[in-house]
Amino acid sequence: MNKREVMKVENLVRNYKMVHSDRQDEEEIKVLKGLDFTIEEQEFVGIMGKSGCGKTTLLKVLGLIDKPTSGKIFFTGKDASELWSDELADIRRREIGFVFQDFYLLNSLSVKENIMLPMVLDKAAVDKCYKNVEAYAKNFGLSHLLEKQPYEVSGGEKQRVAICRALINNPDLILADEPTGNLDSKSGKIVIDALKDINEHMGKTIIMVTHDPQMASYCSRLILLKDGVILEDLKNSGDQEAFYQEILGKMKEL
Amino acid sequence: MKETKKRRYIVSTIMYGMILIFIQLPWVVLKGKNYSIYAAYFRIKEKGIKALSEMAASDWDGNITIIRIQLILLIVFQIVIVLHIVTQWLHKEYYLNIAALVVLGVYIVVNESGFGMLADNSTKTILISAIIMIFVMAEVLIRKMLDVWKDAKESAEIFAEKEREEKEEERRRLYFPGNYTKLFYQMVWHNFKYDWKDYGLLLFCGVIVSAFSFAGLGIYQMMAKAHRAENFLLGEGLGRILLNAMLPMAVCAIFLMVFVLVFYMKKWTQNYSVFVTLGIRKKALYTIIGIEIVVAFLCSLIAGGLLGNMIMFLFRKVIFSMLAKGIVLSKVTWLTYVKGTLVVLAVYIIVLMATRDIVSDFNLVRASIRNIAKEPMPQRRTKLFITAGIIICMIAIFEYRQLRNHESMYLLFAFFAGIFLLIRFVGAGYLRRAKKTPAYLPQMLNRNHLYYKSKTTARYVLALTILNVCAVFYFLFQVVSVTIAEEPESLYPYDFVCIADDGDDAIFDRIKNGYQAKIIEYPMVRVANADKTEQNEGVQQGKRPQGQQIGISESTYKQLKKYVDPSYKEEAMHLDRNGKKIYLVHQQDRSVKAQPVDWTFGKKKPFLHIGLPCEYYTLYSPSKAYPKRTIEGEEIGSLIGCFRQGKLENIVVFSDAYFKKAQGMWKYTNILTGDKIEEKALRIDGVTIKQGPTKLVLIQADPKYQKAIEKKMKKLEKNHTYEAQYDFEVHCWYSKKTAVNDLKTEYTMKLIINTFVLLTMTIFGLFLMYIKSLSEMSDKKVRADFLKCMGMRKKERVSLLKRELYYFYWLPELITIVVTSIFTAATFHARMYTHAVRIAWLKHAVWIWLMYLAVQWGFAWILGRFIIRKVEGKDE
Repeated sequence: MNKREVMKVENLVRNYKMVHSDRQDEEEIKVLKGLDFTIEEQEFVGIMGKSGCGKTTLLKVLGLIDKPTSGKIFFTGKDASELWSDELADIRRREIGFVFQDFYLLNSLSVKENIMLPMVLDKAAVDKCYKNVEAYAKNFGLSHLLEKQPYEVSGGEKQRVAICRALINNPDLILADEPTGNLDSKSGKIVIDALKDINEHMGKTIIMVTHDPQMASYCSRLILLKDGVILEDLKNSGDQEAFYQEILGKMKEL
Repeated sequence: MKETKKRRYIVSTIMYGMILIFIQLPWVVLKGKNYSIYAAYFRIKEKGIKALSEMAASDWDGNITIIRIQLILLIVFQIVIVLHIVTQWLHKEYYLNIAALVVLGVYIVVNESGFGMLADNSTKTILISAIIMIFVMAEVLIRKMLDVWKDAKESAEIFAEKEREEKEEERRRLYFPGNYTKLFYQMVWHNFKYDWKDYGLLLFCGVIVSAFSFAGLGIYQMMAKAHRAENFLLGEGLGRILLNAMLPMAVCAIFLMVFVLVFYMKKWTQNYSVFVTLGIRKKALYTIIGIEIVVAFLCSLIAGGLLGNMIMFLFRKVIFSMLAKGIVLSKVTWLTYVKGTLVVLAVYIIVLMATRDIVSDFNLVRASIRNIAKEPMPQRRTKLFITAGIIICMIAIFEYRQLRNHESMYLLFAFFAGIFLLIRFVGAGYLRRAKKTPAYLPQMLNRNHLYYKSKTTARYVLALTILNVCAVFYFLFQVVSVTIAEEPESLYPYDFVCIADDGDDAIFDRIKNGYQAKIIEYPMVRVANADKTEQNEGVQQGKRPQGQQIGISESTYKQLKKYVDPSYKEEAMHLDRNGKKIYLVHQQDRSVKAQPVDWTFGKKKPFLHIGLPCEYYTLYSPSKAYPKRTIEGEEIGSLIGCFRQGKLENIVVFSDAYFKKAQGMWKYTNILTGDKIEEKALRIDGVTIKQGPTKLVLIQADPKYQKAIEKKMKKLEKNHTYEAQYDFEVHCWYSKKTAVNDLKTEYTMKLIINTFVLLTMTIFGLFLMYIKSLSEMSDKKVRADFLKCMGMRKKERVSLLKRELYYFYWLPELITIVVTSIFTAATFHARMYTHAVRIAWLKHAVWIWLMYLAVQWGFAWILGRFIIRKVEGKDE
């Protein structure tokens, strides 16, 4: 049975204009140089590459936060360029969950409120919000932290809070930007296990940007970026250690 | 298409049919009876002049040709339109409707000398022709419209359908039913509460702006009737004092609000960018910020209104204690509150427009790096900008010291623009050079903020400098100049000053004989200047309100001068026989800004006319009635009395020879244009020429006769309505007693208003430093943690914080000291202060300067302690 296409990218280009502080002139930086790929449902796709190769830019464009300079992005078959800003907001709220390296939790809100924020923005019923928060918090071992403020919890816990927030509206796609980047190995392991679990048992599609080959080996597929183009599109045959070794081998080319 | 053509024919037929019927109607009235135009023609042809009313008959020369032509034109017109209807139905297009239009046009022109003149209802005949013309034009237009009607209708329908579909699609695609739950409002509230202090800062700033707006306008209204020459719009009297103070204050208030709102908005967008990433709808987002701003506006309006009222109350008390019974203050009405609300609203709108870009960018990453991004330091054309800055500053200073420029705030602002260029580019040059020296590394941390946020640093230094200079130079100068100003009584050497003519002799005789008054008479001429207002009317505005001055001879000047200053020694004044060179006495006290006698653009040479103001004269008329005169010499002070504080009734001194000639100029000068009337027969006194005042009558009288003499002066007023008719500020007599009272009011008002603004500026400056510190607090905390980890000692960290803060104390203060010294000297020059007056001024000012520096230093010290405690913890 053919799987549904969650994300399709055609000839994606993203350029930035950069003002040089020293010379005070503008230069156009070509970050993504015509990418083409498709992501199907329930895939766990990693995006890997050296610093500055365009990983985060790609994730922002895929997350409909940023617009491409040219090219097309189809999210579940819908052409993103033809959607209005409020429609993009609706997609981000209902169909995409975000996990960032810097967590982006609001210190003004409690852990509980941070988790339920997407639901609240979607005008969900109050009871349902509380019920879902409790369920996800229990699932991710956060029940005892719900009344705390984000600055009162550890980095790993913050990231789990962010994952809960990303899942709360039951989205089709989770976008994770170096989710383990700010965490120690133990916390990183907990987070990546959680993501793996979400992919395998909840059936969510995940796109994760990382520069850690260990974390990348958890993915079912890995897109290697170099200088804004796809260097390689690797598939995980199921043997994580072999995939890890393959990644290590490819990293020399990056 | 066929249908359209048919419609067109029908329209033409109906329209022209109506015209044809209309033409046949009896709409010409001759001697009270109605006739059709044909009947009217034959009646005139038959009866001649007898057919016409008396008035029409007097205008008619008996020639019937013109009405014959008119009738023929009307018949031709009718034939053309009938042909037009027929050809239309025959599907031929000869554009006869256009021909009909032309014929009718000619008919209308002829009508002026035909029935338009001879009929009793001449206006109606013209009106009817116009109506026919409208019908013909309407026919042409409707036909054109019918041609495009179908297409236009189809396009409109398609457009409406498209619009409906778009709306439908929008409704479908953006369908988002239900209301936000209480959780949403709770979260927004929590988020708001978290940054409450920042909002409080915005509120506080809004309250200050609002309070000063209400207080300023309220005080103005209180004082409005307590002074003679009151006209807010013209910028006279107390209104001018207030306006001079309010304008820079409003500019500073807007700057301050922009600083605060930018700070607030940056934080706000950073907070809400998470909401945006998580998919909040635009409407909800803008509603949140909208509510916050509206609440801030309303709160600042209410709290500011209350505070403003308190200031007004305080002001009333101060005024009463200072002037005792000398003044009656008006009530503050609802109008002040309406105006105040509008001012505050305007400030908010301007400020929101200035911060619009920040609110529109919610990108999560950009919002988070906006505050931490390095600001580029200028690299190119540094020397060019430094040169431009120096030139701007030098021109501004040079122009500021000229009396004619009225100590313009615009010049001060131009100077600030130059200063900004110098701060930015000299600073950049210095820092770039310093970076290359070995001393850079030891100083790296201390100066890091200058390299990292060079633009923000330059802006803050400039803003603080502006506030400082406004306080310790501009407003302080006004305050101190009042304290060193002459005693009001000394500025009026005569009890009454009258501007009279020979017809008033009887009145003065009665005053002299009845009240033992001492009367001195000097010959004078009225001198009008081309422009009395300081506004720049621009080239498109020809007519300008003219001023009126007093023209006297050199000998009279010397006599008057000796009277007020017995030590005066006569000197040659170098005035010429042709009246080109003049000497001016600006009759104003020391507290009044230096100003020219004539405000015509350029102002170097005044445009002065001998005689009363000429109503028809404009600057661009060919008339040479207002020749440019060269100022050979000038002084500021009182010769006969500072009744209009240098704006009007100044003394213009001519050579004796020219003055004699000037006395007779009225005999041939056109009073409306100011030109010479060559033909003697046309020189009709009171109609084309008018003498105007000829005598300056100065009266000294016993105070017990003051009221009685004032009564006599009322009679004088009746003879001299012509001057006040042109300008209500110009009177034919002035009383010392009234003028002294007015001047006392003016002094008090100046003192209070300018002290009030000086204090406001000081508070604004301190507040700005506080805002700056708050906006950088979180970054400083992060840096302190980092430096702690890097092993920097607490003492060094504290010293770093202090150095960064004090930089914004000493640099603006240093620039302020230099700028204030230069501009104070420039103002001394412009106001022609003597050495003794300058010393007296400085003796007063130096204490306030020292106090100002002490307050600034004290605040910087307290702020330093506050920052250290916040950044380093309470144990510090």
